[in-house]
Amino acid sequence: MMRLPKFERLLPSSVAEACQMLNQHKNEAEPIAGGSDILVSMKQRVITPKYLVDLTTIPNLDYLSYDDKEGLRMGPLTKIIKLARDAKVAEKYPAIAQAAASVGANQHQFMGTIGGNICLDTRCWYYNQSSFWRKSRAPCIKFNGDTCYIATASKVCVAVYSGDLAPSLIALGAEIKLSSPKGERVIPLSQLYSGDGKVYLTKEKDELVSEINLPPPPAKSCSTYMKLRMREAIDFPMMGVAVNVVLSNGKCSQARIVLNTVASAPVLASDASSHLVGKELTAEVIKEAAEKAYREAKPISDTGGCPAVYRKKIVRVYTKRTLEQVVSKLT
Amino acid sequence: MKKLIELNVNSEIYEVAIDPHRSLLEVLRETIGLTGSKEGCGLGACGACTVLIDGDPALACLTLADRCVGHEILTIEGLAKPDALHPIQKAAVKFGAIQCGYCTPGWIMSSYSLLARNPKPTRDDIVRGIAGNLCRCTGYVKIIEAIDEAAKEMSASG
Amino acid sequence: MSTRQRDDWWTVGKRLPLIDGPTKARGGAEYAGDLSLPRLLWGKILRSPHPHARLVHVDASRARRLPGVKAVITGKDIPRVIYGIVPKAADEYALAVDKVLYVGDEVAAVAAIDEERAEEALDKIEVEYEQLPAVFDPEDARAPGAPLIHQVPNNISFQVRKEFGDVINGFGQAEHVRQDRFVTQAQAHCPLEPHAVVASFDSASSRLTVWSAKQIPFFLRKILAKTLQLPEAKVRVIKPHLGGGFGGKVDMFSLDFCAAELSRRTGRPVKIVYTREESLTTTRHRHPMVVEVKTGVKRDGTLLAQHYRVVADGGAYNSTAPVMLSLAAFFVMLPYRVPNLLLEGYHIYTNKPAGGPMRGHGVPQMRFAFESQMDMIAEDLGLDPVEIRLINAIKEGEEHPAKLTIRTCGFSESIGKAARALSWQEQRKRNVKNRGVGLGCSGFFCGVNNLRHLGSGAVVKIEEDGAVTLLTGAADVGQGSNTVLAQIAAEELGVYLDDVRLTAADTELTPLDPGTFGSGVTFRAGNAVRLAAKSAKKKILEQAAAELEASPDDLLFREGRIFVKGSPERGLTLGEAVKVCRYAGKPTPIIGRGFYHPPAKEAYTLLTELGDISAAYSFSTQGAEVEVEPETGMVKVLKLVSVHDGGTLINPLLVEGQLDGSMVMGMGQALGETFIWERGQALNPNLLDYRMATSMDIPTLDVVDMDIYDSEGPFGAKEVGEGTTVGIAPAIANAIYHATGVRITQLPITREGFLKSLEKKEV
Repeated sequence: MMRLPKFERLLPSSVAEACQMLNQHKNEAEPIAGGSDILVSMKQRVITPKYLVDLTTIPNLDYLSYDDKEGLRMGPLTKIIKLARDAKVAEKYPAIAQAAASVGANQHQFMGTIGGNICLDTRCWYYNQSSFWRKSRAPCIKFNGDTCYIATASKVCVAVYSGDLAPSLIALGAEIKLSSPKGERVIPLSQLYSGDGKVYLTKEKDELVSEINLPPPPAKSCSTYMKLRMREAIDFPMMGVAVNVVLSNGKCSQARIVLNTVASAPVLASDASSHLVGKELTAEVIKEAAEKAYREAKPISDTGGCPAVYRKKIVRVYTKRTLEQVVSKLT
Repeated sequence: MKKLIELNVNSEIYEVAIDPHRSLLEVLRETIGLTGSKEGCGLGACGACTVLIDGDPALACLTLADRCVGHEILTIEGLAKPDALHPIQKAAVKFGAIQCGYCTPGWIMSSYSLLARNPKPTRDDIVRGIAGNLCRCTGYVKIIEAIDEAAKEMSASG
Repeated sequence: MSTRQRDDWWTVGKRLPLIDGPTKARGGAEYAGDLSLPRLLWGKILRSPHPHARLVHVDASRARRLPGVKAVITGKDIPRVIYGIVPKAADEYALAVDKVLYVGDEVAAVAAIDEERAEEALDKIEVEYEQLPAVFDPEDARAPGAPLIHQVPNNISFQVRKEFGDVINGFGQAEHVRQDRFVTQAQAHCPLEPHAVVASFDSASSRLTVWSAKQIPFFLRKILAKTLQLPEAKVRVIKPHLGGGFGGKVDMFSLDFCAAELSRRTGRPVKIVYTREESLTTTRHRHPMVVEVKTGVKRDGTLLAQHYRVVADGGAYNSTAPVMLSLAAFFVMLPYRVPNLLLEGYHIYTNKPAGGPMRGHGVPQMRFAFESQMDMIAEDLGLDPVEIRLINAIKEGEEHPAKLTIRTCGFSESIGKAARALSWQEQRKRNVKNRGVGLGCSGFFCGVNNLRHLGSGAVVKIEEDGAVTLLTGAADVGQGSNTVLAQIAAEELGVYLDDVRLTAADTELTPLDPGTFGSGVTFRAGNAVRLAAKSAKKKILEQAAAELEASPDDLLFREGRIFVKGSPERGLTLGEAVKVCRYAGKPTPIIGRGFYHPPAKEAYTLLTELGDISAAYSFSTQGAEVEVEPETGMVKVLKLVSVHDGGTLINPLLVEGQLDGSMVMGMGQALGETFIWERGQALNPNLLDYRMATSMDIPTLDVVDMDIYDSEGPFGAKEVGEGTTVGIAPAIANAIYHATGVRITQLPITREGFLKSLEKKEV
């Protein structure tokens, strides 16, 4: 059987205590929520933390609450399945519901949490392998070596980010609350990701995502998420596009197109997004935006066996499709 | 250090001494002796180890046993009565939805949880409900038929 | 066979559920990995991280000193006997002796009190490797100066040449000739159960008992005994429930030998369960092949001559190489009338995991090549793909030019039915953009007959309690052979299926059977069971007739009774009949023995002589309907059709299961299942990245009925387990051509590759 390495599970009763535990054990501790990702990495001995700080023992971190003024507040330990099945979420933030429903398979959605999915480690075929497998090669950059097997000329790790929720959340303007022994701060979710495959989050090790917030959607707005994968279940995305568009007086007043799995962080396609603003979203404009998104996307690695050049092409196709979809819903 | 815990599995209480790094699958199979839940990949990608925890499907290979204290675990062994199969099991046999049988406990547990929430599933609901359970023998068609039949039988008998 | 007689069947032909279905449904079926014995030890195997290296030094002393470690063995500690499932191709050691030949090759094994300690001990074994140049591509491996993997010239480990007719003359008469090249990939079996074994050596009696997830218990007994230098009589193999095989559990692997040897050394039972990664990368897979085919035809499409050159990437070991290449040769000869044919096949060593038997065993690659080319020829000549197939289809009673006996053949009928199921005429005429239909056909065998040791035995006992005990060595791997064989016994003796007690595959209790491969189980073991049941019946019949004061010819066996035809009240239960026999001084229990082997010649003579490879042939046509998304290169299979002449379907429910599973496996071969290797190491050795279809990825599956009776098969049955897999990939490729005009010559059909082809075509 695939067995876990030994560790000690710490049981905090509050976020503050959890942060303290993480602070105390710095490089030897990892937080665990649903466990469906971190335990895989531990079984493969990709990481072998001495302590697991169990966030599920902290009360009141599992909630979804919507308010027309405040928008959606999400507790980090809310199960992904809740997002996938919540009627309010589907109505107000369709991209979130779609992204949640596209995570892994049923079991992963029941086990995995929003916070865990947001903080999903970057992935790479040379990294996410068993300890035996990795013996055939010198350690890569993500393992503190100096070789990148994907981009051999690269001095930084290019492992890709492939959480399904973040692109949609970012497109919808999500903010997260980070708690640490020093206190709390609120940042846009987009700022959580560093863009470096190795140290992929900007938060400190002893900081925890303690809440995720979405503003209420403007009156004439719509969002959607489309995921490229080889199988319709289980697979991580090989590319993904989340869009959120606001219309006023028949023209686009706000737009965000966020690309998934083309880099070590979700990527805002800013040229493509701004191209839409101030325009009527005609087929021609959509096509142009898709072309811009295509140019902005710079996938490096052949993620999951899917060549970068192909994933880049699909950025164009899916940007077009997602925009067409939201426009058809809005008009 | 081993820790003494109580696990509620199939409505029976098992007192077991385990290390904190044991997966629920290890404890079910090796400590308690319930080998119906299978390991097909050990990494959460095949669904053969699916059990229910408080009614929700969970991959036992990625569940820490220690975390299950105070929760109700239902495994394939807890479904049938001594003298009667559960309707899903009955339909699985009748419709040829079982061949080698190795993925069977996993998808039966997934569909059990599906039908508990959604007694009248569409074909699409069923397909999605077992999408995390790989099967190499059947091509899924007969599995889907069996779940559909079981759903009908269960709602007919209330 | 008249319809009336078939109507009289009692259990045969019925949709009966698996006899072990309820046990499996309850989670009560025990697979090798579920077994536990007192004082059980866990074994683990140390593997090479290098694709090709000399073992300079292996030091296990630190591992041996680790608390809880009970034994460590290296290549020096296990008899140096080369093994191989095909004796003439044997080239493997249980543990590497002086070289490792691929990433994953076995170097040492450990037994410890638990799996974690065994794993820890592996890390303590010090191995010094001297890395050697490695070669990964068969073309490179054949080139002059390539590193030699097994010291055979050009790394060509095996070659076959099969020829009949006059190929040169055939091409001379051809009015149209074309030559094409096709490339196929490695495909994994992926049974949900990884390989597992428990071995228990009893030091007092020097007897070894092995429970192994294996399709071939008797071969395992023989090869284990030979390799570990034990008397075969001291080795017992018991087959537990198997969680699928598909050919992946035909061959021997290191875990079998190591568990046995570790048990012999410790005197304690040893269990080894492969991780999914080990199952995927250190056992077997479908051989990648390059198939070059030149075909000459008349203007009307009649096949005249074919020349095949086949290069199989064998990986580091032979496994079944000779058999695989022979089957590849034989099943390009069917299902068409090919008057002149030459096939040259090569099996090349490379520093990769070894290829081996997998559902279709060498044939899907060949048929992908020719069924694709068949459509290309049809287009060249302005013929419809259905038409060209019908022109060349072999017919019942016809002598195949290679002297195969085509006693029964539903091939032409299957083409017509598959075309109808796809609404062929309308779909081809309508020509909807990006929608297409295609066909792929196959002929397959019902067990190899040219190996003398491939005979099946069966014992049927009629007991005093009125039940029937069936002993068979056939290995149910999940396909349901136990149920089918019990049905055959129940049919012959007129008992309820529930009254057949079956013991299957225990080498000490059940008669010899080669096991599950070569699509021969129902045919071979089914015939043996039927003969055994008949023999038991005969022994009871005379006494029962005397008791009932009737002629034996007038007695009927039904509902667990023997009675006079037309007067069901004049009868006995089987139990009473046994009692009658006993009181009449006849020995009981009543035992019938059956053995079946079709007429056979010596092994491999068929590569040089003409004649049959099997006692019967199945025929089938597969159809596919696809929709292509031109923007993404995504191929959506809407429907797959299987029309399979498998003779009598002993159990239509189980047959459908075989055909459904074959179709989806064939679709995987077509559309994405593959290993991505880098320096001989798979980058996708897990079920997340080796992508077999989920329930969300399957099309409509359509199994169309056929009704054929083959007099040699048990109750008229033929093969159904493999043939359908064979034609799916070409059916999909042909449908894609119809949809887009892009011809696929390489598997798998990846979205990126296909999109590129589509773009090229647009330009």
